[in-house]
Amino acid sequence: MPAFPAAGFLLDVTGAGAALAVILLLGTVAARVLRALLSGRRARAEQMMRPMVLAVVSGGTAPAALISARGGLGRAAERIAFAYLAQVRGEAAVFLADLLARRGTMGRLLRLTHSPRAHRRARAAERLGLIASPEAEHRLAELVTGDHNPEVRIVATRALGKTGSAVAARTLLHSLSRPAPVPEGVVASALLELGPEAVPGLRAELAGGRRQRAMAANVLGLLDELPAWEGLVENVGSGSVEVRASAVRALGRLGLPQAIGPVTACLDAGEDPALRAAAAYALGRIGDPRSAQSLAACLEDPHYWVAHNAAMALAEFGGTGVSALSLAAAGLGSGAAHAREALARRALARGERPAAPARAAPSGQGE
Amino acid sequence: MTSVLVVDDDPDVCDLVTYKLEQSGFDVRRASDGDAALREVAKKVPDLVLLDVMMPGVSGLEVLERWRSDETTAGMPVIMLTAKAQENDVERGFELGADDYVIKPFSPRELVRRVTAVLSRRQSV
Repeated sequence: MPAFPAAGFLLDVTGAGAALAVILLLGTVAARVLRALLSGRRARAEQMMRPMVLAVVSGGTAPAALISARGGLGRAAERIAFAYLAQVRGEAAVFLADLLARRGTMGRLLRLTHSPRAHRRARAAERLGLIASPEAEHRLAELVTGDHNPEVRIVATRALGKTGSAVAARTLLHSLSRPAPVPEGVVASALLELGPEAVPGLRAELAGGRRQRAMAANVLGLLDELPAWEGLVENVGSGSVEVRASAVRALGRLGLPQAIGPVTACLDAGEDPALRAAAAYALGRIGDPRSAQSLAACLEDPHYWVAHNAAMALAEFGGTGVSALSLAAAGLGSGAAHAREALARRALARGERPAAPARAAPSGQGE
Repeated sequence: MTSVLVVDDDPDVCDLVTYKLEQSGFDVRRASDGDAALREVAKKVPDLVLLDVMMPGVSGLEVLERWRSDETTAGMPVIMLTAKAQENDVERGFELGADDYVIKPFSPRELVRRVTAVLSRRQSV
């Protein structure tokens, strides 16, 4: 009778499987019901707190119910306040920051930045950047330079950029000198986020360390800070290629003809190719035909980017540059290809049909 | 009452703008995307539109282009709402006929000033 116990075993397994399926189904339904209940409660709490927070944004007095709300209502008030804080500036942002300070939110966030858990420190840093009070800014500066976790430092760097504080610029620039600094792109974005508030700090750091000068020059160029041009010219004569190239690129973005002399000098054959390529690019941005001759001399340069940027710069000059490019394009040297490309790009940009490249004479047919 | 249509996919921005404009005496309608904005304007042309540039589906610039090519909405004042990182879109918006632009994050008080200024400029033309 071996089949009987096997059938019983099969029934047991099927029964257990069915029971497990029912338990899973009930669990799923319960989880969904719970989630819907929580979501409904959260929506109701937000609906109750939203008008109060909106009144604060418009300068109204924060009601006691908003200041003292705790639990679900308190969390809803804070969610709304932070969501609005990310969208507004000026006095509306100050009103919301004041509300959060009065609720004790800022004190709690400052304490959270000391949490042993990195994600909590990062979350607190992000929110402190929105509050942007002097205390928040001070703590963010400490995190940018002192937190042992690189991701927290990155979040704090971005948050510091959102504070709109003039002092933050120098903190961000100095963070570049610490061991394992935050990636330069993140620092540059934070400085750009600070905008005009960053300018005094950036200009002061044009006389700072190598990394600070290079970053300050780049960001000043991106911010179109014309009055900084003299400080940038001084840095063109610096001892570091990185700083010189950054200053030259920034001068190009500013587009001031006063910079032609120092920038053209960087095209000298004895200079570093990276600097010469940056100078050729910058002269194109300045667009003054007085540098056409120096750029035309670079068309045959063995360094690709020097010759390429020189050709593209000449194409920006109109008549003088186009003449120099046409002359080079008719030649046989390596500059001919760069010149033809620049002329073709110029034609396309003007909605014209580029001239067909000259065909080389077939071999064996003589000249 | 002067009517304003606020078009933004971010409900927080819509809340803030709606509240501030209603507080200043405007009659505000809302749309959460480009298609909804086109439908709202087709129903009734508002006195002014606050239009977000970056939205899912039909973008703000496309919506503006369609309005400008329709003679019933060609003259409707439009203020573009744009994020700081999309400032390049401002130029395109002006090419398409936007009357002004506001960069997010924005000052609610300044936004109302801009709305009032654009409306009074249009009325004086």
